[in-house]
Amino acid sequence: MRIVGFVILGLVIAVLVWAATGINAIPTKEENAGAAWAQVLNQYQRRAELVPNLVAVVKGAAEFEKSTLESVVEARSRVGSMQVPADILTNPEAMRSFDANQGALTSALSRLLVVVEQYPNLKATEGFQTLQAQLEGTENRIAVARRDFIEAVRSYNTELKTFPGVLWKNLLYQDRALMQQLEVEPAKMEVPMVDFGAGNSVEQ
Amino acid sequence: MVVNNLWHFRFILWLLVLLAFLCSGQIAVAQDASLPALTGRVVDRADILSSAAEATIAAKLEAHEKATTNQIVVVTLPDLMGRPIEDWGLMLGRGWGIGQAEKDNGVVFLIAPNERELRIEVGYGLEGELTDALADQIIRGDIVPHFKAGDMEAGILAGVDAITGVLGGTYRPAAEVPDGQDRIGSIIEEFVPFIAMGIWLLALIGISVRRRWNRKKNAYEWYWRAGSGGRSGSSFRSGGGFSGGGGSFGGGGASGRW
Repeated sequence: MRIVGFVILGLVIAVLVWAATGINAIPTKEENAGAAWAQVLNQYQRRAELVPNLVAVVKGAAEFEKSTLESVVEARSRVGSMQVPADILTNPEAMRSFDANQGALTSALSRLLVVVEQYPNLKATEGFQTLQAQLEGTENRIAVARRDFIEAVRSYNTELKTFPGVLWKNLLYQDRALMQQLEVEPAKMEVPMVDFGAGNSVEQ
Repeated sequence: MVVNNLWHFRFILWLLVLLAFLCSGQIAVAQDASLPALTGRVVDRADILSSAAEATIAAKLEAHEKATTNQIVVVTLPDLMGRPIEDWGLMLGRGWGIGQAEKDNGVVFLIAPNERELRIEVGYGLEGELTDALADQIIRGDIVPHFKAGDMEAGILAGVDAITGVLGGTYRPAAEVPDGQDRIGSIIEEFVPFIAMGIWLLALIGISVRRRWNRKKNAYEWYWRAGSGGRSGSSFRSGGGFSGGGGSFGGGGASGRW
């Protein structure tokens, strides 16, 4: 019977030690998600700064379709005037409107790039090609930053909801709330190397 | 005695559970095998390079890493499996951990001859030097003309020279006039190899310590988790004595087609 006592004691200690190693998990994951969010904002900012140059170059092209250009300018100004509240990560309303405004600029820009195909002279200029490369690079970075953020939030929220994180939340981190997730088209969230069949050529 | 035996049995059961728990990390590492193996600085899966060209490129890239610590790999893939080439660049760069862990100074030069697409994927730490615009310029100006003419090898060699040129500060795009360097700049430049060697040695020591630690920890967290904890180049063992330093990527670079 003595062995039984030791085994139980050992297991209890093992569980306690395991749980104790998680004491920093919530703040660490919170920091990670915050950093990932900063990267998302950073990449959107970078895009917003590119748009005026793009508009200027496109405007230079004779008789460029007005409505496409106007919708880009309008979406850009809405993104520029948008207030990002400090609590956006836990504020579903703020997150949704942020995402909607950025999404509007994304689709306005991709429409612009499609329309440009009809203007071979504009497309051939070095200035436009450089801008297009920068814009595509930035859109790709935005996609990556969003995926990283989604993963970081998923990890943080899981930590808050599962053992032993839930223990620490109730003990020490009661003020921590679940973070708001970005919404992503299903095609963007599939894990690579698992579903090879689905090709997605749509720009983010 | 019966009770005792029962407890022994349970104890063994717990041990098995614990063992399974510990092994789950190993299993996840095994799943990494779905990434192509990093067999060296040149991974010619599409088989479009002669062995002589492969050796030349590998030597150039090795010399470049010795001088700057930047890790560059050239990858050719026979099939993108319907995924955008940007995904592959990110996946390979992060999965292999190209670039030094603290500097994220890796570049993946990816060519898919059958899809006629290519990409220069640039690690976080080199985005300032090898900008999207420059990467695009290299693709359109230095590489694609060769590819269009059907000479894959020349195109890849030109690309490697251009990328190492940009990162070594010697690349000059066709239109740009080289500007004169100031004295202090050239003096500093003379010391760069020594400084770089020092940093390289330090990084090597640092990485080996880190690696030992990482292998025990979450070596399997790659790609999706790479934004925060993806220093996972360590989980990989190469054949040619080359392995990723654990650098990470954020989607920088440029893509092109021909």
